[in-house]
Amino acid sequence: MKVLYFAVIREKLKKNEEELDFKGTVKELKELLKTKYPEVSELLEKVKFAVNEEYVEENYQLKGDEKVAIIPPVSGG
Amino acid sequence: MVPRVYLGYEWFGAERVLSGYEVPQECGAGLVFLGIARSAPEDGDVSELHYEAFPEMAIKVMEEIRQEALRLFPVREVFIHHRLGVVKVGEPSFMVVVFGGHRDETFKACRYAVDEVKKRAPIWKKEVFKDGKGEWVLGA
Repeated sequence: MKVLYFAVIREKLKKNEEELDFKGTVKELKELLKTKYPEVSELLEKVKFAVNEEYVEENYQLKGDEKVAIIPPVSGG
Repeated sequence: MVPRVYLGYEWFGAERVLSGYEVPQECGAGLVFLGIARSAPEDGDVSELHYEAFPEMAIKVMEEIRQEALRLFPVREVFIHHRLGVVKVGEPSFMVVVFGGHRDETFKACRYAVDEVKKRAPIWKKEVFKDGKGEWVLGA
């Protein structure tokens, strides 16, 4: 799957996106990312997730071919 | 033509929206809300804001919110525009324009669209201070 990073997380990880080989729930993906990137683990507790451009809940089941966006707390306006 | 929903580096401005829209005869109210880049004492010495979005999703969310405002309130037209990139303090970054029959539903629809965009659209601002340092604003 493709994972997209934005704003504060994009800057801290110094990347816009990456390919990950992952199947499981969104919550499991979050735990994996927290382990992989401890520098953003606190931020990952505050983010929302979007799959194919729609917000999803943490129990959403990922098949592995999606585009998953990590959405930090939004601040438009 | 000025788009109903816009997200990007251009800025159409309220004047172009107002002059480009032929107001239906039954509309007795037109309302413009502008979100303006600010530097308040509690924010420190902000000189500009940098806006970033997940554009494909943000534009969809903004269009959904426009449709909801038109469905929930008896108004005739809703424009939602948001700027990306660098916005200097004092310049507008966000605009909602609503036309409706009467002021009550027009105010309500405008308030709804403003609040929902701020809550739901994947758009972020970074405050950049006079010393060049920056800080992402973590909102809703």
